[in-house]
Amino acid sequence: MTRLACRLLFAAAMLLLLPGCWDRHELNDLSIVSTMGFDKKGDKILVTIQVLDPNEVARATGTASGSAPVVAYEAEGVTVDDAIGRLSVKAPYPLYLSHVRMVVVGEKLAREDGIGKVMDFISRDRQMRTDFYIILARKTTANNVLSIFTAINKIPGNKMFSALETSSKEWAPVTGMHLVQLIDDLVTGGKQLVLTGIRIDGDPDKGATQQNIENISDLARLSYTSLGVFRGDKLVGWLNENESKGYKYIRNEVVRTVGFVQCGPKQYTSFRIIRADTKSKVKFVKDKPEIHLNVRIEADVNEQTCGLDLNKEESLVKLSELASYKVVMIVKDTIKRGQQFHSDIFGFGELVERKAPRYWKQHREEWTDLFEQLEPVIHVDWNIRRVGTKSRSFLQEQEE
Amino acid sequence: MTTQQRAPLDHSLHRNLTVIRKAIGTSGDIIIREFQAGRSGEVPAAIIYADGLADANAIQSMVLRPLMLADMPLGIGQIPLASRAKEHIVYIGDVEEITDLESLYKAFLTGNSVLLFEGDQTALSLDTKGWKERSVDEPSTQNVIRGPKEAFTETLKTNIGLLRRRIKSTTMQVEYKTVGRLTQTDLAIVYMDGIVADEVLNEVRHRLSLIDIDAIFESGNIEEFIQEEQLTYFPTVFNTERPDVVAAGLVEGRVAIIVDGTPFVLLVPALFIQFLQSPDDYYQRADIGSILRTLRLVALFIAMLAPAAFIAITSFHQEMLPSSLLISIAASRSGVPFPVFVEALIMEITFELLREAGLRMPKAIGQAISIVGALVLGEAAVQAGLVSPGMVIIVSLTAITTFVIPYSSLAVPIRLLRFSLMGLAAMFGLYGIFVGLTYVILHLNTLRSFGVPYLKPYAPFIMADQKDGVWFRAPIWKMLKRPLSLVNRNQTRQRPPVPKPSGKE
Repeated sequence: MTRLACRLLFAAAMLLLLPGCWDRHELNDLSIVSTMGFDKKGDKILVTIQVLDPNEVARATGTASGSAPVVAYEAEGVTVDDAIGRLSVKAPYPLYLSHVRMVVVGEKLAREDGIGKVMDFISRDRQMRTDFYIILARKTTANNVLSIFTAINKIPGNKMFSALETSSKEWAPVTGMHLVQLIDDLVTGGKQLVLTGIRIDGDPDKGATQQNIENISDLARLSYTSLGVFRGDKLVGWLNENESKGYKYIRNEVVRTVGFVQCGPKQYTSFRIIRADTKSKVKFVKDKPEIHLNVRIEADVNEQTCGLDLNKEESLVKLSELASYKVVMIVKDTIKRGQQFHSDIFGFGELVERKAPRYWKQHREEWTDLFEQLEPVIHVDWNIRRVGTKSRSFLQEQEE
Repeated sequence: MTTQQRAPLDHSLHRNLTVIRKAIGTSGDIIIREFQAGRSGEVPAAIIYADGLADANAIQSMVLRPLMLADMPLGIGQIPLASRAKEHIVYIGDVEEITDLESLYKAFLTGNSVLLFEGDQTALSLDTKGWKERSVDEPSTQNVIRGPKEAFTETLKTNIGLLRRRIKSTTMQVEYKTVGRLTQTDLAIVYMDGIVADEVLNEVRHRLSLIDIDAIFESGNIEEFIQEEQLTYFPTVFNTERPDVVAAGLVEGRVAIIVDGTPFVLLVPALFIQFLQSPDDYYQRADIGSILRTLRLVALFIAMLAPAAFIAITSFHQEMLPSSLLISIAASRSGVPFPVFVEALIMEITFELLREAGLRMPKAIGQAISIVGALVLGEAAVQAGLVSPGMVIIVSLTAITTFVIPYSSLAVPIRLLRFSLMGLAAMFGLYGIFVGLTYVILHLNTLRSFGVPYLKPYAPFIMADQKDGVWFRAPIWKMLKRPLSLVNRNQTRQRPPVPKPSGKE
């Protein structure tokens, strides 16, 4: 009995020790990957990663040795995992993907091969979290994007992340896309994918040197452009700035933004939109779906050079009308553009499916055609909340 | 020991003294003073006392002087001289007649003086205790911001006096007992009659009666004897040097065991939450008391888990850290040659060493040690690249939070558990920590203190006692009942209504 107990105890002790520490990694023995980039290179995929050099990043006291805060490694492979496997001969420690902030996909890869294959790896890998943003490299490669030095926030991945987060809240034409939503859009028939594009302003070669951030006005910088439209997992084209804004209005993604109306030659009033809420509805008219969009906007007047007296109600009414009309036009143009791309990026199909599942089942295959025939009814309700600290511009007083 | 076994005293003073002299041998501190009592010196008598224990002045003026000046009209052997002396002559309050040698020895060894008369088989034991004792001082370990500044001393009767001063009720009962064959240590069992649970009281008496040892020097010795579970880090007997805490415990139905020779008084039954409740909590406003209790609970967990969690997260669950924090920790760890577990172990052990050294150091050198400690733990170790700055913060944090726990008897098990949890964290990450914590909670559930479940009032859950729990204290006018965890009768602590300004409805 005692022998048996001893043996059991021994076995239990072994159990404790044998599996112990199998996934233990000291923090300083990890290559923390901050950004990943995917490009098409011939038949293969070129994977570029930025590995953080914590010492360079954290050294805030100014004793930094001057080397780059991140190091980029690249490798080609038939598949993403193949390439990442090859990266291990270059990176000093095992790659650690949990802290990836950005995934950049090159335009060529997105247009020609689609992003599906890349996303399979990303969604499958157990280390990847899902809170990073996925963007497109516009008119350049992800590899180039990942070699640009950034000022102030020295880690390019973090810079891109926070810039995208800020601008998607404060400036409508861009949108941050997380992995879960991206896969959702890829698999649902009723909503096509859009991704924000990033481009390099300036000379990419100079941007890839330390010199880039030694100047006050940097030689090359990363900036977000508008949205890229997908059909399936392939990029088919780009929306312009206004259309991107329209897209965000339709999708009810606008948090805050800035807009203006023209009320005369070289006379503008600009608004700060502080709240925007879009309700989309489907109605069936003669067995055909009809989309109704109700946009409700609250805005402050931020700037006005129209010579209007904002104490008077009629001037506010006039401004509201102008602004509403403009939004209606933007939204209409955007939908037209989507229809030209044959891509239902607005999720109208999803709305229809939710409203009438049976109808959707029957017309699923021909939805692209049906989508192109849609003529949504758009109503904009524009409310001016505040006019700032001045009701009359001092410009008017000058004239008087 | 029964009376039959005791050697009785003899009629002859001389024979008695011979036996006593033989017994005390060469001890020079026992003084035997022979004299002739009565105005004309007709009765040979002797007084025996221990120098240093008995008050020589009292003996001179209260015993010797009246005896020598007294009338002793009747001759030797005619009337019991001892009882006459007791009734008429001696000016001492507490006088006892003794008839056997054992009691006689005990009497003068505890500071009484013993009076023997020629021709009388009865001796008198006079309470002339008067030795140098430490005055009632401020508590040295259990300090409070607001509250009484008195602490117990080493003298049993002073300590009981301190309690009586707080509880002026005849229901406060004091039972004396002697333990230790050689030390003959006095101890007192104090309880409130009518409140205390009989089972607990009987259990205390029973366990104390089973102790048969040559020496007891401190209440810690008693604690080890009477605690239920020996194989546990956690204290199931409460100890304090604060009379107010003991008094409060008594009226809640606890039993106090005061041991002569130590200022630390035992209080049973002890519950886990008691060790997290500082006396200040009751002396300050209820809301502040509650916040402090919550803070203390947080401190308990930090003290127990901080290094373990740091190890687990930095070596297993890096994805749990915000990226920027991960980067700064990674940067601070670069160049550290040890795994984070070894690093933590080095620092924790260094700290424990410094702490222990600080206790033993002569006070004059203590300062130097703290400076060296700060340098070793801080600057130098980091600069030498042995440990990372992050680890220094973690270790200091655990050190500080350990001292937040008001009673050191709980701080010790927390310190020990910290190391076990660190080991588990190094092997299994957070999973290990949670397995460890689960085990600790299971273990706490098995503990009893004098029959009372240790985790009361949480397990078993007692709603009424949540008013005075581990993170919250209700205002004192809300606590109408004594803790149900301890008392099963006479539970009413106060009767409504709550005092309100007289003008108000």
